[in-house]
Amino acid sequence: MTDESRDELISAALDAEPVDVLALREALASAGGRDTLVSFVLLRAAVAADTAMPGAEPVVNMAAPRHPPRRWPVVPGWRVPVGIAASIAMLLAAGSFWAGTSWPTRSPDTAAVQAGPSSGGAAPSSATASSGALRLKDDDAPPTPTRVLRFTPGVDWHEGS
Amino acid sequence: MAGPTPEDVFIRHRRDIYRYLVRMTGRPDAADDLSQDVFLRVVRALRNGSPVGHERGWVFSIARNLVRDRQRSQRTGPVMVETFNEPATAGTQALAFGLAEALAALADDDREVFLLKEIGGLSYAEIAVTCTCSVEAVRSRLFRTRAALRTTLAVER
Repeated sequence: MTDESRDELISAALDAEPVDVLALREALASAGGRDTLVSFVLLRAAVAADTAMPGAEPVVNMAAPRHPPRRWPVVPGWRVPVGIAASIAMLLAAGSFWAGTSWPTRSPDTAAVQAGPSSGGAAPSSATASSGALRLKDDDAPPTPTRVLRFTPGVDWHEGS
Repeated sequence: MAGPTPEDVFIRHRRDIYRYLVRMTGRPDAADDLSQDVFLRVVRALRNGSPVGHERGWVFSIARNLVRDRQRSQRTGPVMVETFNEPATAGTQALAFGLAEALAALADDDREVFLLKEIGGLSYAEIAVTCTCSVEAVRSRLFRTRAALRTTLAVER
């Protein structure tokens, strides 16, 4: 038996493969054979002591499908996150408030000033152009009254009276 | 009788598959990626009702084929090696440090057969099927690999 065939026999016996038992006894009877056995055993121990380990987390998560994490609550049907929508709404409300308070408005009281020529000669009850309270353009003046009613205390104002 | 569940297969073989892959590729990140691929294929095969046969040999066959595919696609040269600085016992301390480099220096076929035996625990017959070679070729290749490692590492009593 050559040294190579002897060592190959020992290698197969170490792997629990079927070998010729008599040949194995002969192989182990020599010092060289026993050294081979020990060195192969040490080699196996070194591989078994391998410290390579997978990570702590499972390599494959077979439980649930993976979804990207959501960072904002989203109202169904909307693409704008709630926080941003609320900010926009506040800005619109503030803008509306500012627009309502700063734009000039017209009311019936302040518009009844210098009227055009009237048929009844009724004097306007509100401020006139000469008061300086408000000056309107001609096209802003109220229409010419078609009928003037003069109320005098003690006089029955019903028609026909 | 129901077959194994993917979770059972994963728990039983995850660590040794990773060890095999990290020694074959020399890279823990590549081993992580390949491990995921291995168990994805396991899940698909089990859900499709594919016959498993010997479970451990089947899982290592998948791992071996994925390594081969990766090597072909990358046309790698020498295997990069990352050493681990935590040897387990005093008796194997020197061996542990040199083992990674010694394994990387082996031919791919020799390293593959050696790791399928030492980490996978497969029999010669199972390795022969996995590597599509004869049992005699497995026996011869294993012996030559051990002899080479013994010389490289100067393993002595």
